[in-house]
Order: sequence, then structure tokens, then C-alpha cells
Amino acid sequence: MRRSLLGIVAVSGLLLAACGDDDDGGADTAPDEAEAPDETVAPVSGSGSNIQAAGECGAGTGEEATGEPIKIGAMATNSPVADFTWITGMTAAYFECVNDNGGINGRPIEYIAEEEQVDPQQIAAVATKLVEQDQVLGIVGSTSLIECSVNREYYAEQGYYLIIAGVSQDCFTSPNFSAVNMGPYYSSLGGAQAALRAGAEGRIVVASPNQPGFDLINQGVVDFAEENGLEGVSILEDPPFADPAGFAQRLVQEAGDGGGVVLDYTGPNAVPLLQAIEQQGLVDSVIWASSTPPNDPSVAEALGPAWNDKFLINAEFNVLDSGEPDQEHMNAIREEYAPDINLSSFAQMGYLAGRVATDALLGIEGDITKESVNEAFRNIKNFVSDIWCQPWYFESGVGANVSNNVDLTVAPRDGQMVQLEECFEIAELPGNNLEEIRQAEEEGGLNTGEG
Amino acid sequence: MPGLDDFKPFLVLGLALGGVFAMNGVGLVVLYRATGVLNLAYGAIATTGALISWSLLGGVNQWIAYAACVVFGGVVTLAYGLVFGPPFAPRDPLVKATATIGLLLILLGVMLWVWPPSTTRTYILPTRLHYYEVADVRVNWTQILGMIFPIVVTAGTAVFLRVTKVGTAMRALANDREITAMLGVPVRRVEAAAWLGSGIVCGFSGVLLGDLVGLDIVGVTFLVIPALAAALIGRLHSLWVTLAAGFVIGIVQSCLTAFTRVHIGTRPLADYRTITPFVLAILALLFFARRRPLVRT
Repeated sequence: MRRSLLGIVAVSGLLLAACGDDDDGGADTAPDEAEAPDETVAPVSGSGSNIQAAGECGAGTGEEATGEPIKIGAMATNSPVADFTWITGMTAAYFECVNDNGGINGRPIEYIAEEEQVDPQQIAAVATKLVEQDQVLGIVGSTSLIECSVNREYYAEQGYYLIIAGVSQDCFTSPNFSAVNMGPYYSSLGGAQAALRAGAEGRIVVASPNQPGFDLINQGVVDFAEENGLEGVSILEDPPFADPAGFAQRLVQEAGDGGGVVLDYTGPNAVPLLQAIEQQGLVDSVIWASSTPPNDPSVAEALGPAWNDKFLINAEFNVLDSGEPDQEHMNAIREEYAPDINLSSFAQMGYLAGRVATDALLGIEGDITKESVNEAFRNIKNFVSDIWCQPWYFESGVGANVSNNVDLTVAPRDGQMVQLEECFEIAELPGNNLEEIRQAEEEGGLNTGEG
Repeated sequence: MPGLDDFKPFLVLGLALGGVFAMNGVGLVVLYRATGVLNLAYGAIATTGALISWSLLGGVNQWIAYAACVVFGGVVTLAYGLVFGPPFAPRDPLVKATATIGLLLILLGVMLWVWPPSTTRTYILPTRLHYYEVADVRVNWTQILGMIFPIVVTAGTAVFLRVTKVGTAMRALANDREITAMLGVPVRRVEAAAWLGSGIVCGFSGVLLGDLVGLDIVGVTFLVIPALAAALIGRLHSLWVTLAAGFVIGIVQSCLTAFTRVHIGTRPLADYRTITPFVLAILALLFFARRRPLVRT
């Protein structure tokens, strides 16, 4: 009887666990032979009016802010599938630096960064806490797998305009959100563009976590492949991979000889898979590409020379060792205020969110209220940073914001991430609204770098 | 329907994957037979050991670092057995198993605190660098060890239980702890030997898993689940059936990966492969229940 009972409990445990667990080519085209994109965009040089001088943050007074705190909120996913707390961590680091340099006209920023575990009820509750209990004046740096879908209407009702790092497509289809990044839909699309330029043919496979909204994210690559006469295949597979070698074989089988594979996983999840690909001798079987997250020096360090120039990562931002002023500024702040946060594209997102928000806050004339803060955020345009390919703005005016829609390709080479392609425009497709947004950018002079 | 050629790589990879499940399953059964404890913290102990080993790499000789994982597995498991084994001994197996979840949660918390999951970690054994080509698949020596190790452990344990004094005492304990104690067998010492042996096997599996699967804290910790399925198919008693079940689960799960064009609803069958351990465990339990129906007394 005891053994039977134990068996039932063990099987119940297995079932519970099951509920939480929803997967020789000829493509020897060396990606370093990748053609230059047809539509390249000249990158921003480090000399615009928003570029921060070394050692300065915000007002740059060098004196600690001591006035009444200005409350700014955020929430970030921290779950086994994805951990975005580096982003809010880096925004917090920038705000700390601002507070050590006079704050916002003498008032420090009190940054309240919450974590969530991809539970809609929890996410709704955290937003209510931030808005109604903490009474934050603005929300900056939030990055979540599903928050945009859960809270978009609530924030609209409450009059908040959030500067975020977006993940789901709902972050890019609401006038209340503007992301410093372009998110996995557009970034995977950029990866597919790079794979196509590198010679991918036949099929392009896109693999993402099996999380809400990622089928839509994969659809961008599928649409792009079909637009270019290829077959698109979407795979949803949750990391961590119990059998990375088997998953690698599946990806290659699905892509077929000379096909392309676009991965959409964070660095720590992608590395075991990439190492299995290398171990299985599959590096040259297809063209391997990725969305932004593995643009992280620790990923380059973990990969062997077999991957040199052969993992085309769509980088939403400049390389981390560009030597440009803003990038150097970010690196210095990270080292001083947040050394535990890896030098990565996530750190860039957090830094940029903090930068643009601080700039907007410093520009407020009169009382700093919820209304004035969110109005200031909405009015940001032509914010220049050498970390972006183009200046950034908040509001396109078409009811959806994809303010970062031009980026570049990087790849690991001898333990470092190097830039492989110049800045290029992410593809306009019938399924996205980039054509309309770019038209609005042009008409409104939103990202010309002037004014 | 995939052709035979499509299955070849997955058959080979399935053997390696099955070896991992079998290795953990055998470790679970050995301990259960001797102490009546189903150690659900098995994966967490292996993962913590592997992370300690990873932390030591670069600072000390690599073999010392790998040995640290084995030592950690042995010490922590033995310590748990010495401290919590005696008070839980008279309790129901369900209580004993639930208590190990406490250890699992403590280790999980410590790991997430000390080794944040957002950091990229590489754990490559020298054995990974040497490989053979089998059916268009590269099989490295870590994978080969992963296949051989559970067989050696199973055979060694079977011999140990049959021919040594301690082994005989363990088998007696598995039958009836109280009578065995009355016969003058030093029960605590024998149980301590079982805890230590199981922990050492756990430590070895941590080293192999770190290389085979990576150092994802949650992923490796919960690899105990397919091992648990293998142990259940072995009815928490038969080492050889558990070993075979581990390999079968690995092979079936891996071969399902090839079914990318066969759909259930809108999703390919390959997407459902991770439920293999659960399906096979349930089928096995139903089969055993049919052969020997539960008699209500």
C-alpha cells in the first residue's frame, strides 16, 4: 500500500512537472562573406547634444541629491525561461549615478523595480501597486515577457507613457509604450535578413521559447522567408534544453541543406545549444543567426573558434567595445555602480532607458507631477546616442511605436563580439507597421538628430 | 513519417540521453532499497556539486575541481542521511520523500543566490573533445561514459548487494528494518553506507550532466523527473529494469524529435517528446496494476 501511494504521488509530481514543460548540409557559405545590406544607414557618431560627457550623469553637478524623491517604477521578468533583471538593474545604476550628480534639480530618483514570474495576476497586481500604492510618477526600464499584454489598457487608463525594453508585440502596438530596443519580433527578422544575405536558401527556421506571444514573434521570420521565396518554419521550444544535441539535429533537419536557422534565446540558454551544434559538427550545415540577447561578450568567450563569424546576431545596439563616448560612459557606470551586471545588450537597454528618462525629467519646467513626467516622456524625440544606429524618439503618432528599427549584425570572433554588417533597416512586411512608422518618422522629423 | 535515416542520429543521441536518465534512476533505486527514501533532491545535489566544480575550475587543478563535485555529492547526501535518516526512519515513505523536497528547495535557493542563472557558464570535460562518428552523429567520450557508467554502477551495485556483508545487510534492511536491527545489524552504519554510495553516484552524475546538458540550475535539477519515471518503471526495486527503462525513455524521447511533419492538432509530434517519461511511467504502472491488481483488505 505504501509503495502504491508513493507511486501515485510520484506520478502526480511527474504530471505536474509535465504541465510546466510544454524541441549533412551544404551551407558552407562563410558568413564573413556576407554581402553588405542593400539599405545601409549611416550610424550615429558620438557627438550629438545628448551624448554624456565622461564621469557625468544627469545634471553632472557632482553633488548628492537630497530633496524629496521622485518615484519611478518598473517591473522585470525573473523566471527560469528569461531573466531581464539586468535591464532594471542597469537603469537603477544609472539613476544612482544621477542621484550622486545632483539628481533632478536636487531631487533624487527613487527607483522601485519589481520582479515578476510570468503570472498575469501577479503582473496586474504589481502594476496596481506601483501606480496606486507607490504612486510612481513614471515607469522606466520595465521588461517583461507578457506585461505589455496584461497591463496596456490599465496604463492607458492611468495616463502612463512607459519607456521600456519590449518583448511581446503588444509592446510595439500601443501608443503608451515606447521601447529603447526593437524586441524579438523585429530582431529575429533582422537575424533572418542577415541569414538570407549570407546565402541561406530553401528554408528558414526560427526557434523561440514556448511562451505566450512567441508564435506571433516567429511569424515575422516565416512571413519574411515566404516574401523571399523561401519556406518559413516556426519552432517553439522552451529552454533549458534537456538534450541540446538532439535539438541541434532537429534544427538542421528542419532547415535542410543550406537553410537558415534563427535562434531567439538568451545567452545562458543559447550557449549549451551552440556548444552542442559545434560538437556535432553542424556549424557549417546551415546559416546560424539570432536575435539580440546573445550579443554578450561572455557568449563569445564561451564559443570556440569554429564559430568565428558564423553566428550572425542581430544587434539592436552598437558593439560593447565600440570605444564611442556613450558606450564608454555606460561601461564606466556599470563598473562603478553595477559590476555584477554583465556587459551585454541587456545592460545597454537599461542604460538607455535611464538616459532618455533622465534627460526628459531634467527638461521639465514647473512641477514634477505624473502628468508632467509622462508628457515629457511622450515628447522625447531625436535623442542621440552612439549606442543606437539612429536617434530615438518616443511617439510616432500612428498609435504604435517601434522607435528603434534600424540596427546591425555582430558575430563572435576569437572570443569577442565584432561588428559584421553596417546598420540596416529591419524589413517592412505586410504583417508589421514599419512602413507607416517610417513615413511618420520622416514627416515628423523624429529621428533626424536635429531639434 | 520520417524515414529510417532520419532516426539514426536520434537513436544514437537517445542512448546518451537515456544513459543520463538511467544513471540517476539507478542512484534513486539503490538508496530507496536500502533506506526507504526516495531522494527527490538528487538532481539538486548533482547540480550544486557541478556548480561548485565549475567555480573551482581555473583556480585549482581541473581533476580536483571535478572530484569536488563527487565529494560534495557524497558529503551532503551522507550528512542528510545521518541527520534526518534516523528520525524519519519509522515514518511513511511518503513523508521521507517529501522531506527531501526540503533539501531540494534549500539547495535550489542557494544555487540561485550564489550562481545567478543570467550568467553564461561553460563546463566542458576533456572527454568531450574526443569523439567517434556513428550514424552521422558525433558521439563524444562524455556521452560514451554516460552510457557505460550506469551499466557499471548497476552491475557493481548488484554484485555488492549480493556478495558483501554490507550489501546483504542492505537487502535485509529493505525487507524489514526492525527485524534486521533485532538481528544485530548496525542499521545506522549500513544506512550511512547507502547514503554515501548514493551521494557519490549523484556527484559523478553531476560532473557528466554539467558537460552533457550544461549548467542550467533548474534544467539539471529537474532532470530527476525522467529518472524518477525510470525508477517507477523499475518499481523502485529492480536495478536492471530501471537501467533499461532509462535507456528506453531516452531513445523514445529522442526519436520523437524526428517527427516534425506528423502533427497533433497544430503542433508537430516532436513538440510533445518531453512528456515521454510520464507516458511510459503511467503505462508501466497501469500494466503492473493489471498484472497484480490492488487487493483491498
